[in-house]
Amino acid sequence: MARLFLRIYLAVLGSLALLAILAGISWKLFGDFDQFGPRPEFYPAAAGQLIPPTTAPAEIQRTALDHWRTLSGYDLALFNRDGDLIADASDGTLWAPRQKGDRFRPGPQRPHFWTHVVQLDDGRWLVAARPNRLRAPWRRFGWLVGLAAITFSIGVFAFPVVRRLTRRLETLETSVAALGAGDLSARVAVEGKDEVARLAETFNRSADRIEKLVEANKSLLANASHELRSPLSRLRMAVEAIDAEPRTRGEITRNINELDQLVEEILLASRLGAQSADTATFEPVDIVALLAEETARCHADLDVAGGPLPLIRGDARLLRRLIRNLLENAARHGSASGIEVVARVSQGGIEFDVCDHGPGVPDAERERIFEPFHRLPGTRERDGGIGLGLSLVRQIAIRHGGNVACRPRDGGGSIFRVRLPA
Amino acid sequence: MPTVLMIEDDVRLASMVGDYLRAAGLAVDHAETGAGGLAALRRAAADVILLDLMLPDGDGLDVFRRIRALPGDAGRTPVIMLTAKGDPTDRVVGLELGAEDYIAKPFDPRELLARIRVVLRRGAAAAGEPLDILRFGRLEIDRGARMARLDGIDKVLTSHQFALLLAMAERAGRVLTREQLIEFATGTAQSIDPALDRSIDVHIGRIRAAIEDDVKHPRRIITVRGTGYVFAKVQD
Repeated sequence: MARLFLRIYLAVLGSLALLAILAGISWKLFGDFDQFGPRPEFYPAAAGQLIPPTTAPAEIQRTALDHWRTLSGYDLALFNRDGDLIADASDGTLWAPRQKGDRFRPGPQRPHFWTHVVQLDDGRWLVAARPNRLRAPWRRFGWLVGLAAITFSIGVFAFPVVRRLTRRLETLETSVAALGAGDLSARVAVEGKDEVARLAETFNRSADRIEKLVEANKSLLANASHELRSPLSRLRMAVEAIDAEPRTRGEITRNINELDQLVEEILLASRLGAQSADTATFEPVDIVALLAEETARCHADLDVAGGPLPLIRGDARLLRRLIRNLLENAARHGSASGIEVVARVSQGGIEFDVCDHGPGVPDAERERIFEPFHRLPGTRERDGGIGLGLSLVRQIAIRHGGNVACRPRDGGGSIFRVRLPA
Repeated sequence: MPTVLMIEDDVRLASMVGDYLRAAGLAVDHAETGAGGLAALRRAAADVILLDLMLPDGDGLDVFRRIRALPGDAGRTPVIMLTAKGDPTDRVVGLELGAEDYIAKPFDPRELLARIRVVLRRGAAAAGEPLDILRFGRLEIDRGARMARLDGIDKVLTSHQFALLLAMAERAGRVLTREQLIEFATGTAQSIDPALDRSIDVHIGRIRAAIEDDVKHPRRIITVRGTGYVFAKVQD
């Protein structure tokens, strides 16, 4: 079903053809042509009055026929009961009638368009025919030509009407797709007052509402993060003022930082979820440099296989977040020292593995760990940051057209493999 | 006594910060709104302004522009922006507009004090002159004076070492091979011989000794095994 307009148009043409066929059939079957004009008995009686009797000399009969030919404009011929010509006023173009079923029909009389046959009360035959002065064959099929012309013109005029209707549907579809793709300002121009126009109006109203909701959601999150940070900032200041052991103070500070990071991650996750991928802000990013910075930060090992790697297009800030979250995850679940990162070129992009020596992830959990706030069964509440880290990693990878997967490492631990297209 | 003007709508935070800074020997003035801050600045000059990015009467960036539009010395008062983490656009815009520094909330008061001192010292040295300085967290690379400073303290580097550092810093976030590094630092392409290769590493070692907090675990100039060096773009 590629094009709706084609289907509607074909349906119109089809019903038109059906109409023409049915009209033709019913015309043939039920057309009662006798109802036009006088009753059938009128014609022989009237003809008997007009034509001189059988007993009259042939000369008189012929003069009468000529007379009536002049008055009526019809070619006329008179035959006796057996079909022999008595008088001819048609220049020899009319032939004797022959019986065909229960009707008498004249023979093939090409120049005439319509031929009448009347048998007089005394058995004589009068054949009358209107001469076809144009003698063009199309006149014979004039009705067919007319029908074809009507069909054709309806076909021609129906096309733009149908096309216009479905084009409006298509623009509507484009707008819905744009909205779905994240362009919340997508609207349709409303034309007319029909169902399509109402649909367009409904779409515009819905889009307005969605835009407002998303806007409200965004400002709520922005305000919430600000509001959450205010007490955190005060707390951070207050810690300096209290007289506490350095250990206690460090613990408080660490918790404040974790809370702050959680606020930031929630904010980032909702931002990534709300916006469509905006590749316009992408720039060339040196993934190896990012990996080097972040591995140096947490004393992990970096190995680059096969020399310098190509740059990829992306958002450096998000990619740094992706790498940092993976390294923090590795440090949290394995020993902090044994983390290795291996980067290499893969088909059409870059791929890197973050390997840890932790307890590993059970098969059934390998996808679920990327869900927000998912926690492995049986794990204790560790020092913070379980929540959104890996979920953000996946969201960022997908936004860059790549992906991330977790696999077991030979000899225990996990490998998080990230693929990013160039 | 240097004066700090704090434009911050969170009164409780402002009072705590005020106490802290006063204890450190600074005079502190506080305004709750952008308009109040501008009024205070017109009344009495400040040596540094702490400006919150979210204020009840408008965007902190607007207030910043209005401060810069003030006539005379008041318009050139150094500004440290207080931002929330994860607002990169604000950060970048703030620095592009010419803010001297920014610090993300919640901040360590000692770090705030250190940054205020850096700004004050710089303000005294070069009042209002355009600065040609690359900043990476606590590290400053002064292209004008050809000096590197960590926490505002000058670090001694030879001219060649500074050229190497600058070449890396100007391309922060990119892995540079040793060949590229020499080419960028000296402006000439050289075919590299093993001896020179080693000498680069020696120079890098010296630079690290000057600007790294922990030479065993460098965080600013990082070795990428088999490739070269990268100068860290983010050094928080």
